Amino acid sequence: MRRKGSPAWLVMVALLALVVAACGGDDAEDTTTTQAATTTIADGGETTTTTEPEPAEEESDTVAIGMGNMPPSGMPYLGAGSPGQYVWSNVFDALTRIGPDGAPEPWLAESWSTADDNVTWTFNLRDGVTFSNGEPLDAAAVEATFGTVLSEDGRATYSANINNYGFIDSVTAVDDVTVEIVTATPNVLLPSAISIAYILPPAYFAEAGAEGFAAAPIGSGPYEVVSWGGDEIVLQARADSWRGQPDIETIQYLNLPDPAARVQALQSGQIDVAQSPSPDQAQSLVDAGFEVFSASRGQVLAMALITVDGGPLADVRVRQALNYAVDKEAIQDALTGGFAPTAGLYPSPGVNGFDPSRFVYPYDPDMARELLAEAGFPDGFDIEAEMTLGSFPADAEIFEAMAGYLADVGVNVTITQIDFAGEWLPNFLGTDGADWAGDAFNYSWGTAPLFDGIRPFNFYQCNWGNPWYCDEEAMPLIEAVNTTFDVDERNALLEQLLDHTAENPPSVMLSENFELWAHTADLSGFEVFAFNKPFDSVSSSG
Amino acid sequence: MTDQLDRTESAPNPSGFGADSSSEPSFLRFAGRQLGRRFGQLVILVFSISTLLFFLLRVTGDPALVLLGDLATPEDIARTRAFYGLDQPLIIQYFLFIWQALRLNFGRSLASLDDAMSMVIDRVPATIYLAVAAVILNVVVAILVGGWLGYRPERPERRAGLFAVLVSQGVPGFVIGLILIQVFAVHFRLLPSIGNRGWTSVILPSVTLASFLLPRVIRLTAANVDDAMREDYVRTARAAGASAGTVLFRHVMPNAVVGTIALVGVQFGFLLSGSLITETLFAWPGVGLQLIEAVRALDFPVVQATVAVVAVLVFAVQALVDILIPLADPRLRSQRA
Repeated sequence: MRRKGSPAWLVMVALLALVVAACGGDDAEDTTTTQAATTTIADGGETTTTTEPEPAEEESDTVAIGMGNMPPSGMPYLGAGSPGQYVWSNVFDALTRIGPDGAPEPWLAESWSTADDNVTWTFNLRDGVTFSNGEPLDAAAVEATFGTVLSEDGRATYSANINNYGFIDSVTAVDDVTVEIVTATPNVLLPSAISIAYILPPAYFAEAGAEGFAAAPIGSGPYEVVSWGGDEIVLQARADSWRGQPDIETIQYLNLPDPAARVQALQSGQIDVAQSPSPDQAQSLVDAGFEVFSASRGQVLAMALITVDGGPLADVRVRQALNYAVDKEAIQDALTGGFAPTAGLYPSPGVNGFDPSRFVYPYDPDMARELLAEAGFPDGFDIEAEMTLGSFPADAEIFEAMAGYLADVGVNVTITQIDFAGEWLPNFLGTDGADWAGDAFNYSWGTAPLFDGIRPFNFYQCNWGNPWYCDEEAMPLIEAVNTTFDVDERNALLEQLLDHTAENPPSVMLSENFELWAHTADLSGFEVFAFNKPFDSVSSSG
Repeated sequence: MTDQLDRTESAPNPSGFGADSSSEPSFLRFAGRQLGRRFGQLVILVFSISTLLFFLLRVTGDPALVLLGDLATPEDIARTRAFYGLDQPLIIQYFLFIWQALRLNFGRSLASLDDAMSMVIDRVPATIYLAVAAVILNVVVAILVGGWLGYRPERPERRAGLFAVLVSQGVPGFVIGLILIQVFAVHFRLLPSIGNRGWTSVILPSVTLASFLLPRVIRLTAANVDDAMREDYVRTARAAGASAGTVLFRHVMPNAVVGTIALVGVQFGFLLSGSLITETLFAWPGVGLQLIEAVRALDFPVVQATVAVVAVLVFAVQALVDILIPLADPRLRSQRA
């Protein structure tokens, strides 16, 4: 009864048709292919033709970067930190840039000054800068950009970026190269804060709209955008950039979220740079001839101690004891593979106020026990810590190790894991009456995106919306640092505040947050500071 | 010894459709009814999942806070909530969401402000491409290996083979993926392991994705082949002097393959869940990779749109299988004759 050609194969044919349809949809992808068919001699001397993944074009003037996550958008106001800045800082420019020491340095603005009222700032722009579409970057472009993003709609849409300098009242073009910025309240950090406010080409932005702009962004930096997608961003060097012509012709950012797969992509030559290998992976990459550098993220992992409710943690001797009790160096060596730049020191390298000689509590458990006894807790006590884990390299292990050290001096820490979005943030902000249930929580001493040592004191202080720590003695100093407009005088005050904080620790300072980058040995010249990953300094010897 | 064969997963018994499929018009009626029933199920499914997800996602956190970070002032929070409509009572937000979703409008991505549905639709072809490649691999390999194993399951090398398949069922897919990358991309530098750039890109991810389901499909095929080998018609064919090849390919496989395809069809949803891991591992620009990122960023609209699209995909494949299985079943056609 059976005829030849069983209809069972109909199913296969239907599936095949689907494949063909699906492949057809990917034609656009295929045009960006970077593979080349190469002929290689296999071990047996036999000639085989294989399709080999190529990391870059033949002359290796393309650098492919494997990213752990991609910028949310080509519109540089949809976000403030990494990973957006890693790409945006190559395409766009702001009036200022945070320099290697954390201080704002001239960028599109060659200089700036403050009037006596401390709210009126004058920025003098570099002359002759153009966007890659030829539009001039003048004071009118600066005014238009701030006008767009600081409008009522802009403030809602771009809040993550804007809330760093939302205190700006008005931005006005005085002449072609002079911009006046007036702030609602005096804020000495304005030049740092606007380092993430990238200037947009006004005519193109008006024509393309926010959506069109996000898909095909145009800036004044050394690279222009060839294509911008969620999985791949391609940048091409500009010949006429005011920052000079970069050595690397093409940069390709690839979305490679899996850390192991990212490292394997580097090992297999499919990419040239890999973001965030783990310390273990980094060590094996170094052994295999790759280069690894560590970039501080301006953040120190810490357990914040809640003192406003009284109890043992309100006693400064207890907080000092907890800092003496933990062997930070051992934690750093064991858990960060020695890649973390510092242990227990605040603020981090690359942050304004960093001082490698500032006091760090040495590991001294006897001193810890002594201080605890002095404070009336010779047998220690129990505390509960609410923590989000997994947001910081090896944080779970580091906190676990910390708890072990603290248990040695009689302080038993019970760690309760909480969710960042659902619990940590509402507790921290006190949104809708949310509050901490325990005695401590994880809170890094983070300075981004300002990279100024004062930033955490916005929160570690009596006037914070939902305060957990209040040092009355520090308040006048915090106030002074925030209102002193003379840079040297302010830095001296900041140093005083940081020294005071070292003696009056509000938290248990642990390990420096860092990000590792691995790359092939033929690349050099990476500049790493703040959130910038400018590629104009990178060159290839390959 | 045949306990290594998988008899428990003999998938839906296609012979149940027999009575309705005895003639062409009634087959079409049957297919139409099947589709109608499936569509009803789809509507209920998408509606319930979307509802459940809507409330679950809002329990996980306030996206306004995530967008704003630790600098958020109460004014910022209020402004951002108002901008995204998060300041409305939850039940109003829900009805607005359903009303918009009915018109396939899932809103804008909170992270990129792009239209959530278009973001997902853009990525569907890559996911289908990968899934279909994995399905074909599953069917082809299962027929070859399962046929071989089930033809003479009592032979020692096949018992060893079945045991190996059983063991491989316990190996997580991502481990297989990492091994494949290490061998074929890192060591031999033969195949690309990232992205979708040309046909060679699909090889490693599709093998990885296929491995999520393959051991089960092989065991089912082997069991079906073994069962068919004991049927009277096979004994008759052998007695009549038919060669082993004729017995296997004309009499045994057509019966066994139906179950294989049915299992792969029924498990298509499971296969798509494997694409979450596979797409992340191979940076495959599909729906799974996007979903992982959207969940991480609490990008509600994208999560909702993805789930709706995946539900429709799974529905489409199951409907296809429902219709094709009776067509492919020789028993049904013999009744027809």
